[in-house]
Parts: sequence; C-alpha cells; structure tokens
Amino acid sequence: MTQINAIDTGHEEIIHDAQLDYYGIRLATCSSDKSIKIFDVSNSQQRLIAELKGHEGPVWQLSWSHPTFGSLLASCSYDRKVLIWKETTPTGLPPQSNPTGATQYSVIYEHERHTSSVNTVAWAPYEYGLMLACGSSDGSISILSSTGDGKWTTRKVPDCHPPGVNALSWAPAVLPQSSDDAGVQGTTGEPVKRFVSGGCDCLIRIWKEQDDGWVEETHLDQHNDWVRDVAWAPTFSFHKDKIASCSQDGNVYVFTRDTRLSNNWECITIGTHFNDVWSVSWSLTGDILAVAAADKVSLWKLGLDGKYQCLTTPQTSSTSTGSPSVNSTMESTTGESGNIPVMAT
Amino acid sequence: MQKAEIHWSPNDRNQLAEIGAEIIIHTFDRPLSGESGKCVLGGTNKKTTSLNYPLHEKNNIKCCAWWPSQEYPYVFAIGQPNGRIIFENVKDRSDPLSQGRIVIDTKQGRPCVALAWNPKIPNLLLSGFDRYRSENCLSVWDINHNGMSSPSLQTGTGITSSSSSNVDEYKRVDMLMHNQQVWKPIFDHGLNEQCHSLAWFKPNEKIFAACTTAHNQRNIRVYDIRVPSTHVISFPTKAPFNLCCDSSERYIAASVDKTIYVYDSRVPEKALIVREEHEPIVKLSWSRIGSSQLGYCIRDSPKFHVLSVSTNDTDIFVHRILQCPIQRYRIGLASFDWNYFDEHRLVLLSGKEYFDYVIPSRSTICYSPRNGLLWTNGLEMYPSVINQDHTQLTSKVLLTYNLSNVQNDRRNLTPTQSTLNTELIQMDLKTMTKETQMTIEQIERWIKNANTTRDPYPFVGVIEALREAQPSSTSTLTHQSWTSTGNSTHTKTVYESPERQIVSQLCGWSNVDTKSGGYDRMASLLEQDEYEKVAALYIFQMNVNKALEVLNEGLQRGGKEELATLILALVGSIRATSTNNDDNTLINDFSSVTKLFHRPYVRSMFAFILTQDGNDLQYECVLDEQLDLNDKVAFAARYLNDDRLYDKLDKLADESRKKGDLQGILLTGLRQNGCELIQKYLDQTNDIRTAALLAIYVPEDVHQECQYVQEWIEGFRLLLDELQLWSERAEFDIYRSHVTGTTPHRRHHDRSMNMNHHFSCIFCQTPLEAHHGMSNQTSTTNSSSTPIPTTPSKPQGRGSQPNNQNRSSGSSSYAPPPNSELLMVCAKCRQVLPRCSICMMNLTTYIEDASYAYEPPPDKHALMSSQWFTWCRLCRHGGHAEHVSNWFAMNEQCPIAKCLCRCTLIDGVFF
Repeated sequence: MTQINAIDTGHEEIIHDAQLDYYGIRLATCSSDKSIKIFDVSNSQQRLIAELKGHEGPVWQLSWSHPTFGSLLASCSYDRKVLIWKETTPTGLPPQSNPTGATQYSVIYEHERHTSSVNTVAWAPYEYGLMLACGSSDGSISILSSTGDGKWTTRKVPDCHPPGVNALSWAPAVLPQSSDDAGVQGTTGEPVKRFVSGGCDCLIRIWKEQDDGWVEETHLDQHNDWVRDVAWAPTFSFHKDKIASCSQDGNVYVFTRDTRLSNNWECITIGTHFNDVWSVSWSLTGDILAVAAADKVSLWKLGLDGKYQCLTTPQTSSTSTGSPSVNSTMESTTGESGNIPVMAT
Repeated sequence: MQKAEIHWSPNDRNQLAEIGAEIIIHTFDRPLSGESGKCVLGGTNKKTTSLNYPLHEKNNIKCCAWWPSQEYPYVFAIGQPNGRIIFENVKDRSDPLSQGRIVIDTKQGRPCVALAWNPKIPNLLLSGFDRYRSENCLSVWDINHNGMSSPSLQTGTGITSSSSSNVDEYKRVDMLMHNQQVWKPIFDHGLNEQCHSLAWFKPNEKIFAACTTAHNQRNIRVYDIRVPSTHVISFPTKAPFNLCCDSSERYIAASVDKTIYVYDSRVPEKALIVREEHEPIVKLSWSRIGSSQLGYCIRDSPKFHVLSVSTNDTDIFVHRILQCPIQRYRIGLASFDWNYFDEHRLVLLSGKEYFDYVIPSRSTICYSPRNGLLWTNGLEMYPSVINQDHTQLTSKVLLTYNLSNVQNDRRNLTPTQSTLNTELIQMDLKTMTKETQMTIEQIERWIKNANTTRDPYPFVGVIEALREAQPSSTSTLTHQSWTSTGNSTHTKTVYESPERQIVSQLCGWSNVDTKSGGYDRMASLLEQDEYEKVAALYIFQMNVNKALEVLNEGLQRGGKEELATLILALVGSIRATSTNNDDNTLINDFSSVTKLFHRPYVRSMFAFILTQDGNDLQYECVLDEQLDLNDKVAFAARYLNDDRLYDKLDKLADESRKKGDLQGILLTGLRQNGCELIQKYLDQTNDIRTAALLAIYVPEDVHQECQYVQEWIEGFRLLLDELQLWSERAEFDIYRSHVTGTTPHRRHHDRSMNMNHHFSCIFCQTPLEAHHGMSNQTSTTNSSSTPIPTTPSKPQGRGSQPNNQNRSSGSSSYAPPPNSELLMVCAKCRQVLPRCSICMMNLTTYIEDASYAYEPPPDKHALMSSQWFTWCRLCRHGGHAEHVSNWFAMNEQCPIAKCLCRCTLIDGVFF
C-alpha cells in the first residue's frame, strides 16, 4: 500500500534538496528562495525548528555531517559559497528563559573560493575526520578539511569537469584489500579516500587521494549527456565498489568493480529510459537503488539474472486508499502538537 | 520571413503555428493530468497537423502575430515588407478577413518589422516599422475602431478586455474594416526613428516597450498609450533586438549579437545582467506564465538556456542549461516558444523536429533511517514515498527489520543457555523471506548437531569432518537390496562409516536419530504435501515400503492422480530391476519413459532405481539433478566411494561458493571457504544481517584469515545504530558474547562468572571481578537477568582518532551487575572507574527508578532505560541514562561543575 503525504515546507520556491541527518531526526530542506529550513521529524510529524538565511542565491544542496562532529550542516548555493552551519544556543540566556525552544544555527565557516555556482556538497565518511567536498560550475572541486579547531584547509582540484560539476559522492571508508599468492586476504594500511563526480562534460570521474593531492583514478564515459547525479553505494565488502549514475540522456547506470579481479568498472544499465532523471540514491545497505525521475520514484534491485528489476513505482497522486495507520498518526500527532516538550536548547 | 517561426496559440494550449512559406497549425497530443495548468512532465512528440494554409504570393510575411480570441482562434495579423498589415483567418478561407482583403495600409512603403497583440486587451495591435522620412515608427491600432470616429481612449469605455464580447467586436471589425479604407492609429510615436523590436510591457495598463534608433542612438523606451505625447521611461541600450518583457512586468530583456542584456524597469540605467555567449543569440523570450524565466537559444547549439529570476527583493539570475531533448545529431536548436497556458512548458524546434517540453522540476530523493525514502519534487516534499509495510518485498529491502516487536516475545523466555544460543536467529527469521529462513534454520540445526556430536564448538562442515576422519576410519561396503521384494537379486552398493552417518543426520535423512533436535525433515515435508519428494528420499534410502506408504497417504489425503501413476511406476520399475538381469529391454523402456517426468525428484528417483549397480558409480542421473543440496550430499555420502565422494563434495562446495548459496555452508562449514561463500552471498544480496548472524559462529582463528568477517559484524552493528535499534544492537552483542563465551577456554566458568566478563576496565581492559558477597541479593533486584552492555551506539571518540580505536572503544561493554559493592577503582591499573555524574554512584550500580528525583519528561525517549548508561562524546561525562536524560530535560550544560560542555547540542537523539 502506497501512502504519500506531502509535507508543506513553506518554501516559496522550488525545493532543491532535502536531507535527513544520520539518525533521520532532523530534516533540512533548501530552496530557490535562498533559505534553508530545519525540521524536527522525530515524532513522525514535521516541526519547523529553524530557518537559516545566509545565502544570497538559490541553495542547491545540503549535507549533514556524521553526529560525531555534532551534526554540522553544509550548504552550497548559486552565490558561489559553501556555508557550514552549526547548532548554537543564544549566549547569555539561561535555557529556561528561552520558552520558544527555538534552535539557532550559525555559520561557522564560509568557503568562497569558487568563481561560479557551487552545485554539490558532500561530507566525507566520518572515518576521515571533518572533510567536505564541493563541486562547482567553474569546473573545480574543493576538498575542505578541519581538525575540529575551527581552522579549515582547502585543497582545490581545478578542471575536474571543465563545463561544471553536478554531483559528488564519497566512497565508503573501507580498508584496501591485499591478496597474497596463496589467496589469503587481509587488509593493509589506511583506507584510500575516494569519491566520484559527475559533470557537464558527460563524464563520471573517480578521484583518489594520493600524496597529499587528488588524482583522477579513472573516468567512465558511458553517458552521452550531462551527468546529473552519482551515488556510491554503501558496502560490506572490502573489494566491491558500486556506483550509480543518472544523466540527462535518460539512462541510469550502475558501475561495479571487484578489485580482486580487476580495476575495470563494469557497467550495468537499468533497462528503462527515464525522462528527466534527477537523482539516484542507495538504501542503507546498498542493495536497493532509488531513482527519482520527473514526477515519479522507482526502486531497483539486482536480480539473480544480473539485471536490475523494478521493485515498485509509487504513484504520485495521493489516493483515498492510503493506509489508515499513517493517516491516523498524522492526524493524531498534529492534534497533539501542543504536547511537544519544549526542550531547552 | 526567411526562416520558419513558431508560435504557440494564445487560444488553445496544445496548438502551435509554424509560420514560413505557409502557416501550418500543429496540434500536440498531450494528456493533461487533470488539474488545469499542469501537464504531465517530460515531453511528448506526438503531433498532428490540422491546418495547412498556403499564403498568397503577395502575402510576404515580415512579421506575424496570432490574435488572442476564443471565438476566432485562427486569425493572424501579418506585417508585410511594404508596410501593410493584413489579417488572415487560416481556418476559414472564405472568411472575409482572409485573402488579404482587410488591410491596414500605412501607405508609406516601409517594412513592418514587428507586430504584437495586446494579450489582455485583444483589440489593440502594436506595430513597429522601419524608418521612413518623417513618419512615426510605432503605432497602436484599435481594431474595434478605425480611429476616425475613435471614442476617447482615456474614458476607457470603448475597450473591453473580456473575450466574451469578441463576437461583437469581431463583427464590428468586419464591418469597420470593410467600410473604412483609411486607418488611423490610436497611438503614434517615434518620429523619424527606426523600430527594431517591441513588446507589451504592462498590457493591462496599455504600456509597451520598444527599442528604436534615432540619430544612431539606440534606446529602449516604455510608452503609455494613454499618454500620447511622450515616453514613460527611456534609457540607452546596446541591444536592440529580441526585446521582451517578463510576466511580472518588471524586467526587460534584449539582445545584440552574442550578448543578452536584462534591465530592471525600476532601475533601468544600468543593465541588471549582461550575459555573453559564444555564438549569436537566435531567440530570446520570457516565459508567458508563472515565475519569470528568460529562455534563449544560441546559434548552432542544441542547448536551451534558462535564466530564472526569483521575485524576492534582490534579483538573482540563475543560469540553467537544458539540452534539447530531441537532438540526436547535435543539430542546433532553431527556435522555441513558451506556452501561454502551462507553466514551464515550451516547444523546441530542432531541425525539423518539434518537441513539446515541460522543464522538469528538480526532484531528489534520500533514504531515511526512520521513514524509508524521502522525496522532493518541485515545491512538494513527500516524507515517506514508500511505506515500511508497503509490500513484503520492500519492507524487507528497506531494512526495517522491526526487531522490537519480536523482542517482546523473547523477554518471556527463560534465558537458559540453550535458548540463548539460537533465539536471536529465531527472532530474526520472522522478517526474512521463506527461502533464506529455511536455509538459516538449517544452518542453525547443523551448528546444533555439530555441537552435540562433536566436541569442539565450531561447525566445520561436511567436507572437513569427513577428511578429519578419513585416515582413521574407512568406509565399509555393504550391498543392500530393496526391502519390499524378498526375492530381489538387485542390490545397491552402500558405503557406511560413522562420519557418513553423521552427514546423513545433518542432511535430515535419518529421522530415527533423536539427537537431531526433534526436527523431522520428512514430517515437515509431508506437512507441505511434498509426497513425491519424501517418497524419493525413502527410495534413496532403499525403503520402498515407506515410499509407497507415503504416496498412498498422499493419495488418500486428496493428492493428485499422478501419485497413483507414480505408485504403479515405482512398483513396476523395481520389479523390472529385480526379476532378472537379462531383461534389459524392460529397464530401458522404463528409463526412457521415466526421463520424461518433469519433477527432478521423481526423475532422479527412477533413474536411481534403474541404475545398474557397481562399485564405482557416479550417479550423475541423481547428483546432477536439481535436488536440494543436502539431499545431494546425503546421497553422495551413501552411494559414492571415498574418492568419488570427495570429488563430488568439493565440486558441490565450489559451485555453491560461486553462487553464494548459503546451503553450501553444510559442506564448507564456517571456515574460510564458508566465509568466502557468505561474502559472495552478501555481495549479491547485501543481506548484512544474515551474514552478521552467521559470523558470530565463525571461530576466532578464521577471523585472522578473513578479516572481513569482523567487518560484517561491525557493519551490522553500525547499521542497527543508524536505525536506532540500540536495544537490538545490545542484544546482538550479548548474544554474540554468549556464543563466543561458550568456546572451550571459557566453558568452565559458571553462569555468574560468564556475566561478569561483560564489563571490563576501560583503561586496561581487565575484566572487573565482582565482589563475592553479592550473590545472595542477585535474584531480588535484577528484573532482567540479561545484562545489557551499553554504550548507546553513539560513535565513540572524536573523528581524529584512528578508526580501529573508535570501534574497540565502542564495543567495550559494561553492564550494571545485579548489585555490587562499589567498584571505584580498577584492581589492576588503579585507575578510577567512571561514575554517574548525577548520583555519583559507580556505573556498575543498578538503579531501580530515577523518577523520584525529577518529574519525568512527558515524552521520554524510548531509549531511556534504567539499565543503560551514556556519556557525552566531547566532554566524556555521563552516567546512568535515566539520570542523564532527566538532567538534560531541564539543563543543557553538562552536570559536572565547571564543565561548560553543552552535551545535548551534539546530536538530537535526546529529543
């Protein structure tokens, strides 16, 4: 049973991104109206807890850091900036005198080294510490990192996708696999940091850190139009990499690599043409791929025949056949909204 | 007009005119989604040509404008090079308007360069001309009135904007146009100037904008036709072409060659935006409805560019490039036009192809640990596109394992050692697919069987078990004959040894054995009405009577008629083999017929019966069939000699390892091969839960060889953390420690000691020995005798710490013992052990109920349990979870004096 209830975010213009934090408790949305809104969704209802204004242009994308770092929020915008937000309390006020329970976020870092719109932003796996990558229409990608002392170092990789970078995704942190002649496998050393990017040059490029710099490991040229989104799948294997990508050309591909066998990426196409496909996303275990295209979302899973099979395509129109359980909770929770404890924050 | 121009109909949302040598009306077939003004996204290409209107020779088109009129939807005003404006009704050629009979003739032979109907007041036609001596270049005509007897425009009475009166208007037009040969504009301006382009700016207020050249000075001017004498706004510009105005009546855009200028009418002196392209601008146009979007295309480029403007206080232009969706050969986009009715909709013309296109709104998705899948589309956001109980399939895939429900059941169980061993697996099974479930149940049985029959705990697998035994015990060879026929001469060679016996037990072939945990495979198969399968299994054990009995039983219970056929065939084939060895023809007949059976068990059953006996048989006819792996293994263990058996088992193990078939664990055991098999399974299914549960049983020495085993466990724990299934994670940890706690070197400890090793000093990892005087108090205070190792799942340590440290500290398990003397100091390293910062008691102290101290918050988080304790990752202060949560319900600073850490800001879990 498909049940879809649209949330009213109150954004005045198109929402460009919505991201949940690690635990799925806070929801951040960003829009062309230059604002970012933070919702508390812990009680299966949405409560606006903060509205962040700081960007001077449409905000394209958001990314929550791992809670180890206190759930920082990074946002990127048409105004060429990347802002990193942190939840703060208004100083000098004892918590009890703050009856609204309003949560405040303040910008702890501002990155303005791009010369054009910054289209994508993504925190690295927490194992690497505070590290952030952002890609811009000026074709470059910046890697920001901090040891947590408030100072940020930036490493800029120029000309990654000369016509512009559209999407970024970090590889999960897994230790590199070594395999000796006897076939005994083990792990060696530090994990190699990798991420994948897609851009307007119709290419997908895979980058890895090497000698304090970032080099292109390989690129994939299956797409023949702009790459809209890339997503590196979470994995439980040391030696398996999986990337999904979607492009303006209407194709969605999944690239896999088994580093035990070779370093070449194999391409599996999802055998459907998508109109205006925008976004791809892996489930937490990396087995289900969700594809957002035009006005519908579809789920895909690799079948035993080696082809991706569509699991479901939920309909957009909310029908009266919605599951009553969700409906009732929505109603009851909105009715009890006064009972939300005012937390001193 | 040199090249084709395209123009949406202002009267019909799906019609389009192609204006070239002729006027062609195309109609797009576009299903509407039901709501007005909203179309199905994407594009359709289906196009029908409804009208084809060849123009007359004399009707040279210089410019063209479609009359917005519901009543007469196909009337065009056509500006000609000779300065005439004619009207054509392309639908009805007999219409008096057509064939150039109605003419606004400006007499001077200067070209008419631009025409525009007022979209709101459709009887006003704006026209622009080239320069001609001392003539005005801008004229507005009121087709209701020829100007000769014009009522005062300022009164506003003579002009209606409602389309309902268009019939009358049109009739008047008809009449007037016939009667009046000389037309007079109601507005005339631009003396001795040259008009380049023009557009209505504020149609309702009869204000328009035009770009004109006077004395080599180009200006964009805004005129109000109610103010006939002069312009309203005037500013110089470099861009004279493609002038257009946005629907919010604020911005004016124009282009010259490769550059686009956008002006704000309130501050027109300086261009708001100047945008230079690589190639000349072909067309530039504001969207006609909805938010202001400026579209343009450039020469030889397949890309369609959009500048969208947000209507907030500060102007922001966003550059967005859309590839023309129909271009296949990189043909440049020739033209486009915004639709009058539907927002974001436009038609794109590339080569000869049209594409009816709606600019897609951005839609994004992200997975949520709590809600499934979050989807945003345009202005809307859907919190859970896929509900957790959407289908069986998706609920499984989205990993909402819903462990908590099952967990309540198991609380009622008495946690004796034996149930603890398997209950986690049992709990899990309820949410698995049947197939996986069966497999895991089987593995569980193997593990249990192996436990009872062999001393060392780990399940080594059939191959290993046989190999180990090989040098000491050899298989004995017997000849067994069919039990039903006493006079049978036909025998089968059967190999027997204690190890082979164990194998067949593991495979569920012997139901006489009481050690197999009460599990009767035959019975459970019979419950599923698998009579043929059971019969085949009895036949494989040469128990014909039992097989026939089963088939009879099936027949009586309403089985299919096929079963009767089977009984006959069975009896017949056994007779055939037993009567006389010379009667090979009968056997051949039987085997050729029985090969036609569809079901593998039936087919292999007969193949087995009809095989001639020998010492070195391979039984491909059985072992290569699609039988369950354990049946194959048991069969092989019974009828293959040692060499053949090992070959076959190795081959089977290899196959299942390559396929990632979990059943293969029977053969490989949980040694390295088995781990590789599980990894393969994991690669295919991403079923980390199954892998982690199996990994618990993987012995420690294998962990060294296959470090990924540890990764499964860690991955599963992290996943449970992310899903906030902390209790489940804790249970998993406890379960794990119980399993590993039964390894040989720990098994001498009694139960209380077993529990004690759950907590260890955080500094030196020494297990904390509980004081001995406590034992008599234990049973009264401890409601749940399961100690919960806590560390509520928040990733420990800061990011700067190395990875492995992170994990080890996260997994260091403490538990409040039932009751204990205060353990303030570690006996070994003398470090002070952590204490609860609220009650100052040792963390190993069990607290019964903390609510006496504070009013419990109304909405206590489910996590909070008196059995847990927690601490802040930053300041490392913490205490009993309930104490701490109560504290932070009313305070936000750390309870430790002088510690300024605002612990709760770190993450939102407390709320």
